Amino acid sequence: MTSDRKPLLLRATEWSLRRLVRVWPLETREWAAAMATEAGEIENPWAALRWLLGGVLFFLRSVASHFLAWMRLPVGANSPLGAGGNRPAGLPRHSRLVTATLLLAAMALLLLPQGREALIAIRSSWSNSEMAASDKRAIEDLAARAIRERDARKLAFAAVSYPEPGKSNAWAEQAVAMDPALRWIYASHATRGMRWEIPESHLQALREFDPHNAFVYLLSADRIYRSKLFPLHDQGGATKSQINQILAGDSEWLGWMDEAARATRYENYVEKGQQLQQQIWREDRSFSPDVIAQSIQSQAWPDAGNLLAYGDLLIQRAREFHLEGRDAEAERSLQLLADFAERAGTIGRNQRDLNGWILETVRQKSLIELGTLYRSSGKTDRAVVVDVEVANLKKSRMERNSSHGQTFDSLISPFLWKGLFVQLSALAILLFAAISFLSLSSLEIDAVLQSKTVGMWSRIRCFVADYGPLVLLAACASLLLAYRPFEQAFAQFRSGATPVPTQGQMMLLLYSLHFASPTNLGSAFWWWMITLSLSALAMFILFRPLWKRRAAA
Amino acid sequence: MGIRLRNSRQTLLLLDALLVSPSHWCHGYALSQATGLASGTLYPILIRLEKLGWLETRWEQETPAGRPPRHLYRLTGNGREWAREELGAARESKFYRQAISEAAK
Repeated sequence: MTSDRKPLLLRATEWSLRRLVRVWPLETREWAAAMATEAGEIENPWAALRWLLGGVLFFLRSVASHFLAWMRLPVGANSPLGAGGNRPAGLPRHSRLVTATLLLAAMALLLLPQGREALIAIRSSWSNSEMAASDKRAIEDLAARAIRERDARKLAFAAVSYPEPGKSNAWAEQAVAMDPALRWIYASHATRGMRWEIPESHLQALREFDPHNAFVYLLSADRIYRSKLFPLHDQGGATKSQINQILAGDSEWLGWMDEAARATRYENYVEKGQQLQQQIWREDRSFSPDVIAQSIQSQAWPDAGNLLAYGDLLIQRAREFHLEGRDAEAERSLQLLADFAERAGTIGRNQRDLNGWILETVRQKSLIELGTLYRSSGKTDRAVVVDVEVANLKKSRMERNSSHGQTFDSLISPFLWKGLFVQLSALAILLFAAISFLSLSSLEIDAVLQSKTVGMWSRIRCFVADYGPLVLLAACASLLLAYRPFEQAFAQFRSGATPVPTQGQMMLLLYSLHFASPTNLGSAFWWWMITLSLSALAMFILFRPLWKRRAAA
Repeated sequence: MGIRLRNSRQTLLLLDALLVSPSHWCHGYALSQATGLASGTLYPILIRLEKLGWLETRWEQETPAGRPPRHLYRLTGNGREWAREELGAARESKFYRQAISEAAK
């Protein structure tokens, strides 16, 4: 049968097999050619098709066995080793199979959920800006999703986590429009560095939302405090009496402080913020801990100066009343201050609010003043009661201060070391991934170009190709081990399992992760580390033959 | 470690076909038709037999015009001896008889 009269299927089979032979591995190409020739002898189209399918299978088997044989050779070798399996000079000891296994194992470790989380946390810690671009993108994506799905909670989280006030304010308003019960976030998306400011419209919404909460009035007073006193700070600062004079003359500030003192509740919304952070982080673990840190830091805190100045003004007012013989009004004024400081101070301290500690100072001052007032007006028995209260307050503050210092130290010190190991492991991964890639790819390029590199560079290259992937795997394992305590603590924060790390403890954990990052310590330090490591490696490679010769002698 | 050949059903079928006329050179397609083996199974076995030194191969010397030369195969002296032993042992087994009857179908 001539070829033009052959059915299409037969011609297609012959043509396909001839094409296949061209790309067939060299070792069995002759056999492939034999099989392709036989196709021309087949007359039945279906038998020809069966012959072709068998040929494809044969091709796949040949490619697989060729690949396996190639993998068993050292990196950079294309032909089998010489007699006795001797390794030619300029090639590493380990086969491609060993090298690939080590690299795949390292990659697998980094692809584990713990590995991915560690990498996300490290990438964020290496960012120079306030927030890593990837973290910002993740929040923007969350906000877009939340708007699409009309999910107020997610949008609220995006608002409190995003570092730019424009978008953050807009998202906060959209979230509140979807769910008015989220109005508290107006107090939790404010801090953008030292000069944060809550818009008046948000403060008004907060006061309407929570009219019995002292905290919202403190925030309202704080807005005035900042607008009046921060310009003075820029001009070199102001004395305490100047501050008190400025604030005493501001009836609006005084009005908000009086409202705060009379309010029956004190809630700084930290708990609500923490619940939101836990919930969203549980739902989406791909957020870096830095995003959570940003949302913790965005909590608005009224400046402690508000409370100190208000305390001073009320004590001053009480003294004036006393001089005018209006002791009852003086007592009322001091009692109001002491009660406010006790109520808000205790709650604030429980909510881990710095103002809680300041309010204790204010309370102590007002009680001492009250004792003086009682003594001067002959109410000695009441003065004694107040003195006992002051003594107890001083004692409990001293006890708390010393235990606070110990807790802080015991919390932070182990994590600082672990943070350092995390950063060192990450750096080792980066370094050894880069040098392994360079040496392996240069060996393979030489193999393709059939060029030969000799001398010291060749020895260094072989050494790195042999041991680089092994060190890379060890560095990946070390990263997982070093990051484990952080991972556990973050998981505990997310799940809310007791003891839940507080927001303050979360910030300490993140500080431990960040303090040894290259961006924090400065690039010079890390360049020194890299130079030292590479020098040590070069010395080892250079002097190893000498040591071997001595040992043999 | 040298190449080893597993005495699979397919190998025994091929040896049987090659022993039908041991001095005669066979083509791949003819062997495939005689054994029912697909090209993807047949050629890897032929390669192994050749590597073990039990199979001789050559290309056709004279070919009709317009047709490329075909590859030819036959067992070597050692190969024939080994094949007869293997087939003799296999014929005793139920496994082989079953394989032959399946191939005949």
